[in-house]
Amino acid sequence: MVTAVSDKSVPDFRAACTHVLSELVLFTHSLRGEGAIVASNAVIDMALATAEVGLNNRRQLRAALKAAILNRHTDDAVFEDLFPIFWTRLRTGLRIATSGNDHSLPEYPSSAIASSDDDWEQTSQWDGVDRSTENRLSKRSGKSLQSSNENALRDSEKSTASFNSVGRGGQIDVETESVIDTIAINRFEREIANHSGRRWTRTGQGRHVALRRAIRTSFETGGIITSIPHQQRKETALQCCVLVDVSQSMLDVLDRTFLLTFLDRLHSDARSCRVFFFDTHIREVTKSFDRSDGNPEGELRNAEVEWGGGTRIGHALLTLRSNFPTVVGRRTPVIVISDGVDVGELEKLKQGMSWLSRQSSLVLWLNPLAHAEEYAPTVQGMSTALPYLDGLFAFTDTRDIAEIARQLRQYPSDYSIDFQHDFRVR
Amino acid sequence: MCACHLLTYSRNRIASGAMSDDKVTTFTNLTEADLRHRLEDQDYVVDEDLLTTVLLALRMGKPLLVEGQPGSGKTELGKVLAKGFDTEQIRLQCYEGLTTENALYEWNYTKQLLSIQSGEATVTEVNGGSSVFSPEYLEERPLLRALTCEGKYPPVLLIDEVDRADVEFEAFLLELLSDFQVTIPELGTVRAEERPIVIITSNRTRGLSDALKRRCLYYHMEPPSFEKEFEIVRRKVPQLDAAIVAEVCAMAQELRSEPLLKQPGISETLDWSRALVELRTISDSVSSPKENVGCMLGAFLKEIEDIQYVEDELLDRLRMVAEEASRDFNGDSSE
Repeated sequence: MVTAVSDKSVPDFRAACTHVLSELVLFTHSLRGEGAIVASNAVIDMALATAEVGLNNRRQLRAALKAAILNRHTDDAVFEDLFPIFWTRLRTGLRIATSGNDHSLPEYPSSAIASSDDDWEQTSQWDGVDRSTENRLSKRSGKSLQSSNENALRDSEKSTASFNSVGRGGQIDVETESVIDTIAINRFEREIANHSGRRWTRTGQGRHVALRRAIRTSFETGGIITSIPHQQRKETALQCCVLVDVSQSMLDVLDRTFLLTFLDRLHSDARSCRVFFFDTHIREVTKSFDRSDGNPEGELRNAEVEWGGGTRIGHALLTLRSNFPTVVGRRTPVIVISDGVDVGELEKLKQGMSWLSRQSSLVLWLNPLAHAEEYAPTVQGMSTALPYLDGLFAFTDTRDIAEIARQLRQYPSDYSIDFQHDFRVR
Repeated sequence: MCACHLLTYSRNRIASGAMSDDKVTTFTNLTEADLRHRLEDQDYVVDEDLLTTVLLALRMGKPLLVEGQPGSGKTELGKVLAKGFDTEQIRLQCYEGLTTENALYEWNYTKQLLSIQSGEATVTEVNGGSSVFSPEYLEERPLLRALTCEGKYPPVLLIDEVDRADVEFEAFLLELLSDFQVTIPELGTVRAEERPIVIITSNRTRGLSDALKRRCLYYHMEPPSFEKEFEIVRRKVPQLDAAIVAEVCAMAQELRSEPLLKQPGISETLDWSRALVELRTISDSVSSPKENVGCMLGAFLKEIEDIQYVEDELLDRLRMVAEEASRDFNGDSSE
């Protein structure tokens, strides 16, 4: 067995071996944490697979680990999200073990950052060093989201607005995506796009029998049911509607950078994403998110200046129904970002929420106040809207987005999901 | 149990102690390039991930569980592996009600009875005579055959559509897939000298047990991309022009995006292509699949509801994508 030596020209093989095994275990735990089903002996198979294909070829290792770990294809997406982090940690740790230089390791989505696969494709072979990757790693790895925010903000050439609970918003740099967990938002988009809504479509193989269709078809055969049709939940591309409460009570507690970047990402990734700001009135701001001539931060600033007098959520929803009747369709998930503080008529709120719930495929309410451990939806507007929601969640940072995606993914449509099932808080 | 029968059956196959964990050594030095070469020689278009997974299964000696829609090439993988390594393919088609007698072994009762009646053999060995529970009366079924088969390369055991079998049969497979040994009460334990290459396919009509999945490597066959499907059809149906193949593949891709009861796989595309070839031999006037797509739907869609679902609007869209594919292909070719 090779023992560690002080001479840095000789790699520390034992440390490298330990590192590889540790990363495999950590990777397995992260997959389980994100809801993937991983067998208890998966690490052994992973280690054997790694020994077979080696550590040089990223594609081969990815395929080998995927074959060894996964046993259902619905976990593919989680695997593909986490593998880039695993790969980076693996390679960085091995560099540390062999060179002795100090590099910090990126963390899995629960606490920090990762990039898309495109970024990591630039990572070169075992002996090569990708400077851009290293720079990113040295800036981001091993730090909390807040400190990484500070680094990213410091390095950015544009001025950015830091989180500010009071006061006016300043210039906001929507391009500073370094503060946002790309993986969390990707996963959120995927889950609301693929979320099996309340409606059904026919299929050849499904768990559910389409009884009504079977009976209708049986009329052709004299009442005898000759075949049993099946049905499954409809799957559609992402076309969503986002209603953002821009009242002062919201802007006082919400990170505007996070909000605008979240909206920007949704808008750019979705096939169709209509964005509305509302307070005492409602206004569509979708066009401002088009990069060619958009100024979403300006819209937010204008809304803060122009409007006042409290939020009338019900009025906003009914105005949406009358002025923009085609915005919410049967395949449209609706995201409402609001603290639920409402000064309008509760009856109108009920009517608006009832319409929204009937019309859309999914209604998610994101409330910055729900992040608090002691939070309870007792405020009038929130409690009135609650029965019409498919889920009420916290909305303060990308960890909350990741939690929403996790619950949407893990729990079928028939189960209730909301902030009370957030194991991080309760 | 008769010691001479054990020896006759094969000394090397009898468990004489704890199962060793020696890996199959035949494929230790097999490379991706070699494996790809063997598969592509059989005109099987394989992507990188599948290649790595199959190589891993061969080197690690673990069964490979392949899931996917019907017609995606799962069974074909087993066949081409057997041909590629010039080894025997042993296929076990699973169905509801499949018993271990059908899958593992069965005694030839008729022969046993005749032997007993004629006095050639007895139930137990008496005075040096033979027993009706000797290997000559044993009929090997696929699983036992896979354990006892000998050759330069181990045989390919293709357990097809395991999701159709009962849960009890699935439980029986666990011992086999773990240790590659089975116990015959009258003869003893039979262990494979060399682990067979095991390919298990499933159409996901029901979920498989975690215990079975844990013993296997896993691969999910996705519907092929346009490029892959084009390549497959070109290889399997070389009589068709490349531009026609492009049209067929484009229409197939478009139909797969529809909510059909039975999603067509690559085998349906091949059926459609072969039907076009036959149609051309019948009638010289047929020049393009988009001209007769409506009457050829039966070659691609296998449910009456799906055929009824295809209305004029969809047919027009199919013709349009075929036109675009043909134009793109001719444009690329001219460049």
